[in-house]
Amino acid sequence: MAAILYIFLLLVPSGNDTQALMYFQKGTDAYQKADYRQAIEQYELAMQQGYASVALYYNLGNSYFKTNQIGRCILNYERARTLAPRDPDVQFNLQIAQLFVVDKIVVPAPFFLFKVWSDVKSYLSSNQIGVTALLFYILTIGVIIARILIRKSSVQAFARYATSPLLILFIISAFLFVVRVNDDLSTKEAVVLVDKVAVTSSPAQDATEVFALHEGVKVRVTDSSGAFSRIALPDGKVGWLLTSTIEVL
Amino acid sequence: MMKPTENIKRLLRFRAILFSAIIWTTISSAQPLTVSMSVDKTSLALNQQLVLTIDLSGEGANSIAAPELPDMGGYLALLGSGGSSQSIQIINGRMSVQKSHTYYFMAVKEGTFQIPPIKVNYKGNSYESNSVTINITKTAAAPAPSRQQSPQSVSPEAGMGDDLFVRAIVNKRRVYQNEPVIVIYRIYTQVNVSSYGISKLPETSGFWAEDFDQGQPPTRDEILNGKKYVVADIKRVALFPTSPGNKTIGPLGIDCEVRVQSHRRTNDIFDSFFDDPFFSRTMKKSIFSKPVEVEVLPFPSEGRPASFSGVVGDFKLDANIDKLDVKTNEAVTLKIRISGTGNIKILPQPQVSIPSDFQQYEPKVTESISRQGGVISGSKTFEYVLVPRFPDEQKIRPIEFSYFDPQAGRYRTLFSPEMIIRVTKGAEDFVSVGPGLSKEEVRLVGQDIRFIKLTTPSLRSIGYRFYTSFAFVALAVFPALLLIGSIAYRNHLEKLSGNVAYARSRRANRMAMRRLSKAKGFLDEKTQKQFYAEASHALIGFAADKLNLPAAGVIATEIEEQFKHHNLDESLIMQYIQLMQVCDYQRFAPATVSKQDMENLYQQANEAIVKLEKAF
Repeated sequence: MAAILYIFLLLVPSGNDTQALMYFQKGTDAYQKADYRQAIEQYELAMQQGYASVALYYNLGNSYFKTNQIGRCILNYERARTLAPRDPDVQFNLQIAQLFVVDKIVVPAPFFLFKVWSDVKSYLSSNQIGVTALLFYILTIGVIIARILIRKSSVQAFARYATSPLLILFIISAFLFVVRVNDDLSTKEAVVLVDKVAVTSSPAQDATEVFALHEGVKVRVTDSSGAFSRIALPDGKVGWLLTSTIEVL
Repeated sequence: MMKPTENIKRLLRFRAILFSAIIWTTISSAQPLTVSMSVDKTSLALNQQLVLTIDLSGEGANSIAAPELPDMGGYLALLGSGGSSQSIQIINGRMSVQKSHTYYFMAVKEGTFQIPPIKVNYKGNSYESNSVTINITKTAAAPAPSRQQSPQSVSPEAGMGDDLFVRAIVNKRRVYQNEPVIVIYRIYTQVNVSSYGISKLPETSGFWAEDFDQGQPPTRDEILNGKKYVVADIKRVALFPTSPGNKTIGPLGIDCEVRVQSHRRTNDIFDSFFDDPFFSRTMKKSIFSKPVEVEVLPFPSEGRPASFSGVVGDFKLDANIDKLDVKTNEAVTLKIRISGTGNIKILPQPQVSIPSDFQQYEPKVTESISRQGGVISGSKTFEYVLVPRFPDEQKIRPIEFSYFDPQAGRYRTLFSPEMIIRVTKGAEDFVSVGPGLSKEEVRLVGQDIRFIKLTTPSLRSIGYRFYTSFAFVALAVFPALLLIGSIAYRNHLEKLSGNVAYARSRRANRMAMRRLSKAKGFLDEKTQKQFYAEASHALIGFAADKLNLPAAGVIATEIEEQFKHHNLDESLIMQYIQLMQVCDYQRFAPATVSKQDMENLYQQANEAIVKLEKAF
């Protein structure tokens, strides 16, 4: 059984691309010498190999911060956060970076149950919750198989006690996993990368400006039409802006 | 014992019965209903008051509602109702009921006019009153014959006609909507009014009323129609009509205390002394002003600006900003002031397009209204506090304000100049400890970001999602298959342990083959006996296992019968039985057989078992 699991884990692409790792190392060296532009260049090259990690996004965010590019800085911190939602470094630096965003979007404190729910949802990244759900799934089935096949009374007793907790854990994690996958597929978040962008009431150049957004604001992309994207803010404001002014996480 | 309250209740009930009985008997024998109309004077001057009394008496007089007043043909204007009075008399057991309604009118048109009879309906019958002819003259000369006769014996009532009245004086009768009509209520008197009080405020529905500030009104002399009056402006009000059409400003009612001197002919020295107001007696008198008709014109639709919101008058617009060079997060104040004459209260908040880079708050609105000097004027100030959040050159577009100028009869639009605010970046680079930061955020201000991560555990493909990978699907499917397999295996085990026949049947082939291979080991002339014994065992054992018969003592006929019972092929059964018999024969009465014969038998036995296994 363990051997089979091991084989499957080997099938997960770890993708330790040596080229990308080399760029990462070069970028880190440049950062340590305070050559932040060089660091950005190297980290971006690493990403162009098609590979990324929490550390790569985080370091790239730091480099952009040091060069006062707050939009790209927040974009990369947010990307790091989707991979590692509880990384304290990422959280701290993202908070610092958000101080430099001009727009302060004030959202009234949600009802505490909603807050608990969103905290629970975002405690693990979608990959982590997927692995967790799978683990509980395999354990639950393992215990059930043991009950079926092994007649030894000690094994039977253990398996009988273990089944229901494991089944409950599996159901909870599977539910969270389904919700997360659904969120992943349905919501698209983006960060404003230009100094200032006018958000208009309709997807047209001459449309009336509803409000303006500045670099570093995270928005939810809800629709697109031509060169325009429809965005929504956490405080409920919606409008259209040029898709070229934002970048999706 | 009875409680006192109950006693009283009883008494009251008894009284009520008695009373209704009396009314019932008297009404049944009452006089028929009569209606009559009377006026206090038949000849009067313009603007003088007329009191009209309608008397109802007889049967049903007290149950008839106030009669409907006839059309006065424009000669008389109704000032108000004086109410009704009722009297019930019971003489010698006969009750007579009389009810009178009093109305106050004012003469508004000269000429002779017959007040048509008043009709009332009671129990299906119609009753009519008499008609009254009145004569309205232009001057006040007519109703004064009594005064001409003897000025000394002026009766107080007669004096009220034209020596005490109130006029509503309007500055214009044709106004635009929202253009004020200034109404002055002026009291004219030739008698000594010691005090007065407003008993009825004018009805001004359809107007926005703005009272002028007024203390104790000064009195002065004025000559009207050749007579000298003491006049006082007791009330001044600006009325802003709220919608177009013909409107009526209702009458103002005033209660006056009039001093009436006791006129005596003597030229006694004491007379002048007793002429002192202190010793005179006072009389109460109610007077009403005439209602005023005003024509309210709608706003012309021609040339109406988009920013027009119904403001009428004459206005000025000022807008200024306290500083034009600011740093980010420094507050600036934009002040917009609209001043002039007109209805200040309805001045709308001007449309200000503030760039979205500014954090803006609700404006502070202050208004001051002056109600002096015959016009309503004042100003309204809107103060906006703006906090620029972003360095840029910010433009505040001209503020537009439109109003209607009733003098010129056209619209006017005012613009403020465009204002440019230069916003420069504040001292702190980016960071602003402003009101927008939470406590937690303030704690972070001035801190540097944390250092980079020097190593990365592993790189993953960008956009890699575990749940879309093959591994995920495989790990999800594989345990499910395992579970199904193990359930099937357990079922199989249960069948084996719980059903001997099934288990024997499953094992039959294996056991037979094992015995046959054992027989093969004896495939030699010398071990002929053993060979046939083993072959026999294999054949009988197989059949016994398949049929679940005890292996010992099973006989060929029984096997044959059972096989037939299972609907097996006849020839196959025959072959099998024959093989069994050959084996038995060779076991117990061995004949010389060649090795070839033994081999043939082995082959045949093998085939027969395989065929039977398939057939079962």
